[in-house]
Parts: sequence; structure tokens; C-alpha cells
Amino acid sequence: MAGEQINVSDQRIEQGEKRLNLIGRHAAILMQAYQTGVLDELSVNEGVLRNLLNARIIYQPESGQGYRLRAPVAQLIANLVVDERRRSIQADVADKLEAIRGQVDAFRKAQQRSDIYLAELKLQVIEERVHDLVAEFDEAIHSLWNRLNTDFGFAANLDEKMAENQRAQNQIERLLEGLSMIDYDECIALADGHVKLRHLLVVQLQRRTSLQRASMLEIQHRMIELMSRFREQQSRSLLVGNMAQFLRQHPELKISDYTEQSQVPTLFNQARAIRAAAHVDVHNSDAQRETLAALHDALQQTRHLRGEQIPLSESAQATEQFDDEILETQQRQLKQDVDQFFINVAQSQQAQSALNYLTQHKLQWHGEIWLFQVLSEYQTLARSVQAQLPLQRHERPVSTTNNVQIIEDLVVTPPKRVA
Amino acid sequence: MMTYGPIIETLLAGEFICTQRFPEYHQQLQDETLQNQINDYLRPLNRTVSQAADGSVFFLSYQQLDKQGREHLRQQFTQTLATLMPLLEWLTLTQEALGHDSTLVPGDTVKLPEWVMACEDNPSLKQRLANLARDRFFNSQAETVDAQIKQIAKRLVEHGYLMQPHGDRPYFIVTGKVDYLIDVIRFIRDEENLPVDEKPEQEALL
Repeated sequence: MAGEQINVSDQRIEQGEKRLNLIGRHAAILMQAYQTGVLDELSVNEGVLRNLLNARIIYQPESGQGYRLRAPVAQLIANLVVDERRRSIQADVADKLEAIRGQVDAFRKAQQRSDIYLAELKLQVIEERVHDLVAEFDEAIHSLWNRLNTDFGFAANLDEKMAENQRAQNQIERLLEGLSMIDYDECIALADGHVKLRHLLVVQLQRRTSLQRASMLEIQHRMIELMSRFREQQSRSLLVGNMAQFLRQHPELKISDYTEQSQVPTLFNQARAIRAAAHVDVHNSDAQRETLAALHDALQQTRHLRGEQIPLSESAQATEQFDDEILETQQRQLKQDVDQFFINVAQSQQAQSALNYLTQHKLQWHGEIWLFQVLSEYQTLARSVQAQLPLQRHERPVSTTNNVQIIEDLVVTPPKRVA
Repeated sequence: MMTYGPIIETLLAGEFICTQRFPEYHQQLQDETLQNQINDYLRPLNRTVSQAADGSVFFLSYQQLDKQGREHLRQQFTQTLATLMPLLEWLTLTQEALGHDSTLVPGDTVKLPEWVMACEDNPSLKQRLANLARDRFFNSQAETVDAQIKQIAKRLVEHGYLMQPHGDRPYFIVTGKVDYLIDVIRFIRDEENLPVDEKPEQEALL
């Protein structure tokens, strides 16, 4: 097991060395690529190209296009030569925008000369540049989200996390500045009258960058939130640590008694607990007997409606075990109220709305819960009883486009009696 | 009609209401109208809803202080002072043992086996734990790390700083009462002008 691990890390070291050597061996063409943005394919043979690709030093954004340095390599070079211009994103954006301007200009001139081949080529270059510009922001945003989502988990301690967060915030600011350098009016002017250019510079660039801006603002917001959480954690730890230390060093410290002040600070005004709290006393055996009797009556009255011969309904059985949970009591009360509603309808001469009944009898249930219970109780009734007590739903669709029906009320009609 | 009955019961029982232990009640208490309604109800009982740590916890205070009330508060305060040191030590100890970036905050999970293992492996932590467990507040006579930590956790649950979501599983959640504790520490520091800093040295910020 351990041997394998050593092997793996050995392999990695070997691979790293090889690849670093590769960079050294082709330093000249890589620097040329760094300078111009595209690798001069003609100056290297295919084998070298393949090696560089495999070593993840260069890449080809799209087949048929030129090879470029991967971002980390370009950054490495920028760091090595302290190329401030390259390191700051604004300059990068300015660069790319300038290149786009130049290419658009060249494209127009080629068109004027009716040089279709050159114009087509220039258009391809513009497309590539726009792609580059957008991709760079995408990459940065992706990496920022990544850092945010892992809570800077890669940093060893809180101080480092805070430093990383600050760094990320600075980066966002630079990115936003970079984005703000893209002048949409200018893009519109540049694209004037050409469909493909318009698509590239106005539709594509604008849509992508406005999404990116929104994304960045969101990241910025979260970074600031996270930072304040880090700060809070930091000051809390310091407070706890320092206070513990101070108290340890000063065991004789006399702290004044704040409860003697005329206005006791709220923090230290914590009232004595009162255990005998007011609540439904389900242990009261008298009340329980009353409840049971009432329930029993209600069920007796509804039995003929159910047309069932079960001596005791579920709820009555449940009452025997009478769990002292308020929830259950409420559930039962609700069931009972609904039973009473049906009895009431059955005895009256006219149809009744469930919601009206609810308000008339000043019952405390939420309307929706009430309707739901009425409906479900109704469904437990025998078919023959249901036929005698027709239930009508008052429904309306959610909206003109959404045909899901919402039940607004239920109306139950009593059986026709022979006078 | 009284949909807030359970909240009142919980408050009257002397509980601290925080999002960890009573998420629903804590949410409902954000509503000032409801707070007023509850206060109306509690007036004859000489109680009123208070909050600490920027609304992280709610609890009941005396509305008017009579002699008995004041005596109760005095005793309670003495107790609070006595528990201050062991609680601070608990916070620093767990931070070190569990390798956390900061002291425990509400919502953090404390897994006992992890804590036990960290203390078993480190003689200095083990010694500190033994001292802490022997403190009057935790009052453990146990010899083993495991038993000491169990006793500490038990006492912290009793005092509302920790909760155990599942009785049979050895992990605990830190409650909002820890925020209250931090408030108390800040208050004492400010009142007594103690030279206890909570701001880092300047360099870290820039």
C-alpha cells in the first residue's frame, strides 16, 4: 500500500520534471506565443506540438484555430517577468478590445476591396477574440465560485482564509473594472450594418458579459458576507481566548454585581421558570370523561350516516390510549367538528357552505385545513350516504393559463325529506 | 385560538429560544406583534420577552423587580460567574482539540468520538480536559477521557449550550445560548474595563 503511494508520487515527480523540461526546451516558441497570443505552428514540428498539448502547456480553443498558451502557463510567465501589464485584467481587456477594433477595421477594409477571402479570415479572428475575452471572465468566475463554495477550504487557518477572501474581492473589483471597459455603444457602432458582426459584438458579447457582471456582483456580495462571518469568528475566538487567559491570570478579580443596579441589564434578568404552565390539561380525568362522552355522542349521531356497523370508530379507539399530545387532541377536535358539520347539514333543510359554517360557529381552524378535513371525512362516508348528502366543490383554475383547480369552498346539500 | 401557547409554555419553563432548539418558535418570535401579544399575556405573571445577542436568543425577564425577583437574579448571577471560567475553557479546549478555525458557533456539530480521540492522543489536552471535568460545574470524578467528555456534554445539554438531536447518537449541536454567553463576556469586559482584546493586530486586516 505504502509502496504504491511512493510509486505514484515518484511518477508524478518524474512527469513534472519532464514537463518543466519541455517548457525549457521550447522556451523561445512559448515566449513568442506569450507575446503574440498564438503559437507559430510552422516553427515547430508535429511531435513537439503534440507533446506540448499533452503536457497541458498549450491548447487549441477550437479545431482549425491556432494554439495558445494555457492560462496558468501564461500567468507563470507574467509572474516571472513581472509583467504588470499582463497581470492586471484591465490591461488585458483593453488589449483584447484594441485587437477587436483593429480586426474590425481590417475586416471593413477587406470588404471594401471585395477581398472576400481576407474578410472571412478577419471575421474568424474577431470571433476568436470575442470568444477569448468572454472565456477569460468565465474562467475567473468559475474559479471564484469554486473558492466561495468550498469556504476557502484550501486555506489552512482563519487568517489565511481572510487573506484569500480579500484577494478574491480585489480580483472581482479588477474583473468588474475590466468588464466596464467594454463599451456597448462602441460595439454597436463597430457592428453597424453587418449581421455576423452584430451577432458577435452585440448579441453574444453583450449577453454573455451582462450575465457575467450579474454573476460577479453576486459573488462579490457573498464574499463580503463570508468575510464578515470570518471577522466575527475571528473576534469571537480572540475574545474567548483572551478572556480565558485574563481570568486565569487574575483569579482574584472582583466583578461587580449588576443585579444590584436599579436597572438590571437584560442579559442578567432571566426570570425564574414557572413549570405549571397553562395548557390543555389532558390529564384531567373529568375533562377527559367529558370529552369522551361528547365524542361518543357525536359518533353515535353520525353512525347512521356512515351506514357502518363498526362499534367504535378509529378515533374512539384512539381515545382509549389517549396520548397526551396536544397535536392529537387537536386532530381529534377537528374530526369532531367536521362530524358535527355533517350532522348539522343532515338535520337542516338547506345546503350549507363549509366555510360559512366555520365562521358562523366561530371555529378556530384555518380555512384550508377545514376544507381538507371536510373533504376527507366525506370520502370516508358510505356511497349511499354520499348520494344522500351531495357535496359540491366550488372551484376555480389557478390562472387563465394554469388549469389546476383550487377548491374555494365546499357545499353540502341535505337529503330531501318527505314532509 | 392561542396558536402561540407552546411558545409561552417553553418560555415560561425558562428555556432559551434559539434557531437550533426551537426553530419554529424562534421564527415566530421575529414578529413584533406576536411578541406584544405574548407580553400582554405574560403581564400578570410579571414576565416579559427579552432577547440577547442580536436576536439570536429569546428568554423571559421579570417585568418589575421585587425583592424575591432580585434575590433570584442575584443567585443566578453568582452562578453565571462561577460557570464563566469552565465554559470559556470548554470553548478553547474544543477549538484546539477539534482543530477548528474559531470557537464553536451555534449550529456547529460536536462529535464526541472525535473529541475523545483528539484528547486521548495529546497529553496536554488530556490534562486540561481532566482539570475541566473536575470543575464544580461539570463535577466529574471519572478517570477516563471518554467518561469525562460524556459528563461535560451532559451538563452542557442540561444548561442548554448543546443539544443532542438523537439520544442514541454521540453527536451534539451547539445552540444559540453560546451567543448569549459571548454577549455576557463582552458585557463584563466592557463594564469592568478589562484589557481583553478581540481585534486582531492591524497587519492581518490589510
